[in-house]
Amino acid sequence: MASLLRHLLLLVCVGLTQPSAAGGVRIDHATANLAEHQITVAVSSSFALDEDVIEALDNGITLFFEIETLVYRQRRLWPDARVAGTTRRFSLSRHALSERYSLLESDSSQTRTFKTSDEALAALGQWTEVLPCADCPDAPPVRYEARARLRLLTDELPAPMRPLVWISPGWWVSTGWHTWGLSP
Amino acid sequence: MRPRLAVAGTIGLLSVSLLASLVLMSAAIQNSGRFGDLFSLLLITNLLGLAAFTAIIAINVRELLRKLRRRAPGARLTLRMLTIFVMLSVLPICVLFSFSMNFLMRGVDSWFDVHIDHALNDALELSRSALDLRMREVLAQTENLAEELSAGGPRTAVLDLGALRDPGNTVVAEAWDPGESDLNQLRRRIGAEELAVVTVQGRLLQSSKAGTDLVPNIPSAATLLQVKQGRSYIGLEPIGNEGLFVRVAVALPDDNLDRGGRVLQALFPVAAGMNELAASVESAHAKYQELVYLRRKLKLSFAMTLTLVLLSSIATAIWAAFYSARRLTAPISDLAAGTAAVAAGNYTMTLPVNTNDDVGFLVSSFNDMTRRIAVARSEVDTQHRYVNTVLRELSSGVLALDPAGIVTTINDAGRRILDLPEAGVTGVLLSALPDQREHLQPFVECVSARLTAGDTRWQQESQIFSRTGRQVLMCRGSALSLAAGSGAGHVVVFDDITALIQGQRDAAWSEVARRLAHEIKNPLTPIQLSAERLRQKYLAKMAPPDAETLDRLTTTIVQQVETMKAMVNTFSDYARMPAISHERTNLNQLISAVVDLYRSARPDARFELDFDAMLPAIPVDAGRLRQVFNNLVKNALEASSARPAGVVSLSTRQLHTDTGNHVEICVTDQGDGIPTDLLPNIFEPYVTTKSRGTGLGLAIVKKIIEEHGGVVTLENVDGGGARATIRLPVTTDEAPNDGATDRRRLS
Repeated sequence: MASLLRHLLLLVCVGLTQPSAAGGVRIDHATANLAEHQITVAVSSSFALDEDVIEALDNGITLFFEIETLVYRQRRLWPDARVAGTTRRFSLSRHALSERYSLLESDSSQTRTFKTSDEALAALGQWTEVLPCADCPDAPPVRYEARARLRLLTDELPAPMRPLVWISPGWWVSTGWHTWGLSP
Repeated sequence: MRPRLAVAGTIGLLSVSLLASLVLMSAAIQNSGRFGDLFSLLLITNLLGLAAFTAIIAINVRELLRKLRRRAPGARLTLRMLTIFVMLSVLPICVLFSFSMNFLMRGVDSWFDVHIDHALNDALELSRSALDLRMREVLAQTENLAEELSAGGPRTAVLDLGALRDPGNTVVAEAWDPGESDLNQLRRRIGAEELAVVTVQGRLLQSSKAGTDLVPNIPSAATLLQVKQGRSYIGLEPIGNEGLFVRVAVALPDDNLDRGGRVLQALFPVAAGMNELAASVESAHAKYQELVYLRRKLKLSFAMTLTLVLLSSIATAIWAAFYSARRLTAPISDLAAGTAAVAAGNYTMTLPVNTNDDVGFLVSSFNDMTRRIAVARSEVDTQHRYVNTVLRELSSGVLALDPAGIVTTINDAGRRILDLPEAGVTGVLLSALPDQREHLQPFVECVSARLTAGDTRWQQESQIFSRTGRQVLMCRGSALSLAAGSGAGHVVVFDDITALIQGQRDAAWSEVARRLAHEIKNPLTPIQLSAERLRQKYLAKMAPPDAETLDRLTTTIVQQVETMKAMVNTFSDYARMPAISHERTNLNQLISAVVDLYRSARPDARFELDFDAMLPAIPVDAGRLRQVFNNLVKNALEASSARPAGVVSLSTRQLHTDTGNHVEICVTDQGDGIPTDLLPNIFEPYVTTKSRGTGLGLAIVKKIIEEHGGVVTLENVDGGGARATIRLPVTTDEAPNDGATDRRRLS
């Protein structure tokens, strides 16, 4: 519903808003390996955020990102079965006193700080997941498919920004679902 | 009642919308968090409501425009009321919106103060300055420690940092003997939270850390790169929930950094009190900075929301105006539609009475009015039908004219008498009737003269010459007047009294003939006897000259008496014709017999016969009809004898008309024809074109034909000559038809 409304709003407002530099994120490289009932997924992505997003970050707005990594077992005539997966959330903010960018993982509370936002985003874009999968046969003909997505959670932005975010494509930061095959 | 409820509901809805917007504004001004919670809901609700109202209004506007275009009853009143309602509701809303927007913008701006901004920046700078002193101290300590370590000589065991982060691996570092100084002791000595030796590539050589967490906080690649470039690193870093730390990274002096040199990193905690104060300053500054950043967006969002509320309110008001206007004007529109229907002649229109107010009373009165009009109309219709029936059954013609002289009504008898068609008479000027029937000119002139003279009641006889001959019309006119005295036209009643007059004449001539026969025939016999006795008594005794004279004179007397007797007998026959006896007769044979008789008597006579072989036999008195054909053929031969090659034509045929089947017999000569002045009265006794004759021949013909229910006409034909036409009805019964009735029907 929110997505549909967003697109409708965009259609209405596209002529009213100033066009800004296009930005976003994309997955450059992704690998997955199954061995000994463990699936290791490594994803490398790169950011090119809109300057409005960077401006908001530099002005104290915390950006929330979500990384989803899922593995499905492919089946014939049936929907693929999810065999492993994890979702991690990060918040990226600027620490004014130290003048550094802080990347905090919500679940582990692990914090990393970076001198520049580019360093922080580069660190965010590289992730490796080791997913246990006890029921995963590691021999053909079983085939697996890995899916990964990194996106900016605009719903977590301050409320006054949300309507503007809805009508500003620069804020629609998402890799979309990146899928690739995985063979034991 | 319903319009009142609708208005109340509309006002309530508007009030709720405005109240919601005011609550929103109040909440936003007092606490942006409350605004944020409601924002999405309000936005979506308003957008949906606005879209719905816009669609409804568009439909209503289109419907109203359509009604206005086709001038539907009540449409203009609805538009007027709609305009008033919209003006009354939209203008205050717009004014309120303007003030609200201004108040809101000022309210948001009042949150921010340049002094607070400066104070927070100053506080942040002050915190940095306070920490700078501490940072310089720990940098010096770390650099001293690095020299100290470097002097002790390295014996290192390399740890793979990547492998260390992998929980599946177990990494064991080789024991490192720092010489005189132990790393833990060094860490405790300088008061560091963590002390680690790593390579410039990021591999951990040795570490010491306070607390239970064994995983060291490795410096970032950028930090190591800076150290590798020969510049020591020092910086404040927030680490997890533990607050601020000072990270120092320096190169061990004697190491070659380009070939895997070592870096000493130390993490120093900021004093708890300082840490708390710095966190407070950082938090306040961050919040304020966020607010400053959001100010423009907040105002834009507020403006957007309020605009949506405004548009929703306006849309609601317009829709409510449509609804109320429609509800209020519906009875009036119904009344207008009902009035139009009544004007168009629909008197059964009944309107629903939905209210008990003045409009309801008006609608009830309208219903009473239409009901009474319907009753009156029904009575008028009944009366009209009655009058039409009477007029239709009248044998007299009735012609109604409006004041302009236009024919408004003519009954069947009038149409028949005047030989007018069924259609195309009413709505036509009386003076234009001769355009349809030229023979009506005398009748029209007669009536028009009376109308022009302004006669209100008059009676006049008029003669017209139709296809069937002369018609005598007795016309009686009356001026129609309404109650108010204004003229409503004229009505003319007329009768065809031709047959009546003819009957009267026939009766008169019969009486004359009877008297002549009676008065003349009586003395004729004594005269004849006396003349014969004179002849017998004195003829033989007288001298030859006198005897011859006597003989001639008495012979003349006897002959003239005989002639007079014959004439008297003819008169007698005309006056007292015997009753006819019907016998089914083939007229072709009858006429042929008559013609054969004349052929033998007049060999020079020329006849042309054109008989219909399918002519039916009809019941007639053959003897009387032979007398008719005798007279007609005789007259035709006498008329044709004036020309050397004169031909007498006789023809028969069967006619099928809307009044029945007829047999038509035509006798045509090629003589000089009949003088026009004699033609109208040619069938009357003593009207003749011959120097010798009684003038009773055609009168007897007419009488016999009429006794057979037929009609006989005489007319001149083009090229010279006259034609006698006889029409006899083909009846199935033996009884003869009434002559007068059939004569009308045939005409």
